[in-house]
Amino acid sequence: MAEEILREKLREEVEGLSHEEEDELLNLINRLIELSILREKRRCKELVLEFIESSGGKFRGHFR
Amino acid sequence: MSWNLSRVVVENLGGILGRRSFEFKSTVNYIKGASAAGKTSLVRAIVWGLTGAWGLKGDYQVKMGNEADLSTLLNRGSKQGSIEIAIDKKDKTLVIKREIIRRGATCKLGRCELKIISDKSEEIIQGFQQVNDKLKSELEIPYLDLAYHIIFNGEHDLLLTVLPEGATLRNYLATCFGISRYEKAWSYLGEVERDLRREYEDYRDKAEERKEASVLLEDRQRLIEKLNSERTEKMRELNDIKSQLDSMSSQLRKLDELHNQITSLEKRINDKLSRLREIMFKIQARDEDSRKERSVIEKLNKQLQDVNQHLERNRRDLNNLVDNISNLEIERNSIRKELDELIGRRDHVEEELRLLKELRERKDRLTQLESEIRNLKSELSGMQRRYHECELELKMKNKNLSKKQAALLAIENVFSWIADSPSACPVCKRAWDEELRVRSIERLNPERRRYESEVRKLKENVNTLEKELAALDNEIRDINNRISRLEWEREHQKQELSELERKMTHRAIEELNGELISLKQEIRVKTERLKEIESNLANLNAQKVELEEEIRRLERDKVGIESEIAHSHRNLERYISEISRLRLDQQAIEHEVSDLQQRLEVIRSGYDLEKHQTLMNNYQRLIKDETRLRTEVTRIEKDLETYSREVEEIRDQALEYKMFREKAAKYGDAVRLMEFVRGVIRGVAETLRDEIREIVSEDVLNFLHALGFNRIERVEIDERYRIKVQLDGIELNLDTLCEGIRNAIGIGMKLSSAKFQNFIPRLICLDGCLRLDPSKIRALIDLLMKMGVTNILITEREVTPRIRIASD
Repeated sequence: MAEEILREKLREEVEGLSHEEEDELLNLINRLIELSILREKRRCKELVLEFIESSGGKFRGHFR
Repeated sequence: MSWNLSRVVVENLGGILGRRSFEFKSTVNYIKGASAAGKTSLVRAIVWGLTGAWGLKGDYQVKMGNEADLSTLLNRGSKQGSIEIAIDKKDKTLVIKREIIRRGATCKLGRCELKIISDKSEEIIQGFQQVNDKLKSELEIPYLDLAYHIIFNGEHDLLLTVLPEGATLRNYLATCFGISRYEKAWSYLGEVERDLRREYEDYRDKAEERKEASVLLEDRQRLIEKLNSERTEKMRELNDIKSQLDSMSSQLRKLDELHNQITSLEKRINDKLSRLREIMFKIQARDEDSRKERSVIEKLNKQLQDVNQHLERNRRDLNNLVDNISNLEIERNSIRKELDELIGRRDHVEEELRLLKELRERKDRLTQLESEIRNLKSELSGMQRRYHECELELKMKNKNLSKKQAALLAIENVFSWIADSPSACPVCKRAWDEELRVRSIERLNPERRRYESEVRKLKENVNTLEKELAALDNEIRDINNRISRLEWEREHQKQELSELERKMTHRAIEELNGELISLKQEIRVKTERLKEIESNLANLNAQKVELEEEIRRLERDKVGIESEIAHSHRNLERYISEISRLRLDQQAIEHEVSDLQQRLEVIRSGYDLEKHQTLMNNYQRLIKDETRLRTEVTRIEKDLETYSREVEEIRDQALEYKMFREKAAKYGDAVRLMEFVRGVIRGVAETLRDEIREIVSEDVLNFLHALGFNRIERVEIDERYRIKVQLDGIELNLDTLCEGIRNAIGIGMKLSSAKFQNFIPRLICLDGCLRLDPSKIRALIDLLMKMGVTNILITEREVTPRIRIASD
């Protein structure tokens, strides 16, 4: 159920995402949640920065 | 796949002391026993044995492993406790063993072991984590911490009625339903976001700091390019000027050489002429000096002549003066001799006169002494008489005094008798007649006073006489001394007088006085003459000294003038020789000057001054241009150097600007992404909370209806997580409900949570939380069994002292 709510929220926040992009973001959020529970701050930052680099700025337009 | 508890062995855990074994035979097992028999201890031990968890932290996280409240599990008086749980599965048996050991004030986990026994094999797993990991899969409990919440509903942490300290239903449900992980993630990612934002701002600030350098770099590079082209142009102009200057400089060198020769010759001629003028001036000066020196010599010769004349005259005067002085000295000596003789005669007469006077005085003194001696002797005889009289009177007074003192002593003796012997007479030993005694005393008292007075007076008279006698004695002794002294002086005067009479010439005083007057007159005349001669001599000697001094001075002057004349002669000779030498030099220089003037004329004929000037001016102008261009090139090169240095300095900063700008962009994107992620997570948590309130309300209502609480119409958890129940049309708070309904609501909420998580545990423990009638208990058991629960443990209080397991 939480997963469904998460996907629903994602769709509400960002419009025009492809299915793959949606999965990418969901994966990122879930991994961030797991790392937060483990209190891995450095890994959280690395994950976000890697995501920014690997996405090549394709999400930039969605978050502005 | 279902599983069942088959056997539990507990040793020293909770209220169970010693080792006890319990057999479980069916799905539903009642743990029965008296109060404090150990029912709850058994249930807790089973929960701990299955999950390894006991107790809740402040944030509702389960305490696992060594963090668990082991000290509340272990029996207080025991050092070691353990549990062994045997679980039957379809084809195998699991045996879980956990141990607690007390070490001092704390309790630690001991051995932890899982034995999996099948028909074919036996597997033993050791270690807390390994055992728990294996149990999760074997017992189908994916979350042991969650299982803890669900399978145990103990009396002391009864949900809704007794929550852990500080707990709220909101947070408890959030933990059970897994909302906490989203909320925690949201909060923790906030820290990550702040870190990212800080780094973004840091990079942005660094980029901003270096932005100016980047702009400046572009500007400087543009300026350097412009200055380089300007320098090339200037260098070209400079080279043109240099070639022109080279061609001009050879011509100028030749003309300069001629000009230098002319200048040099002119300078030499001028030098020679000036030297010639100097020589002529010197000759004139020396001529003048010679004239002056001659006039000086003439003047000095005249002075010398005068001095010689003076000297001769003074010497003549001195000779005359010496003759006069010697004549006066002869006369003075003869007068002195005569004066000495006259003085001798006068002294002799004066001595005779003095002796006569002394003789008279001594005779007078002798007469006076005789008279004094006589007087003193008569005084002495008077004194001696008086002494004898006083001596006689003293003897008489002493005699009288002795008599009076004897009488007084006799009276005193009588008084002492009467006083010492008051009763009887000490002589006759007869008793006193008192009247007689008093009368005697009265009669004797005036007598005693009279004698005492007389004795005192006599003593005073005796003392006075004794003092007078002593004084007379002293005076007599003194007069005797004076008489003997005067007698001695009289004898002495007599001797002196006879001596003087022997010396006397027996001339008359008048005769001696007349001779003395005539001698004194003669002496006065001679003395005055001697004084006159002495005065004349002193004058003459003074004149002589003056003349001698004058002669010495004139001689010194003469020597000085002579040396000055010699010095002037030497100067004159030196001037004459110098003049002749200077005249020779003058002739030689005049000859040289005429030669040099001839050579100058020859060189001037081959030199054009106007052409030289023009060429010089042109050359100077080009030199100025060259200097100006060189200055400009230097300035440009300096600027270039400055700009290049600036470029070098800011190049790194400009590069850093790019790097930091890129990083700032990347971190800015990261911050925005994190904001987005956190926004999504926050939205999920909020949505879940709303959903769960609805779900739990609905599930709990259905659960209560299933148990038979049909009068309850609605259960609601409001936004502030207060539970409200509508019963027979009346809305009630949780506190107003009976304990049975409250417990049922708690169990319903936990089951709802389990359903939400897709996890229905196989074991449910209901420890002291069932205050329901048997039909409702039966309905609950049926419901749980329908949900897939295969083990239900229910504790019940009864009078049996020891706990026992009873099957349903």
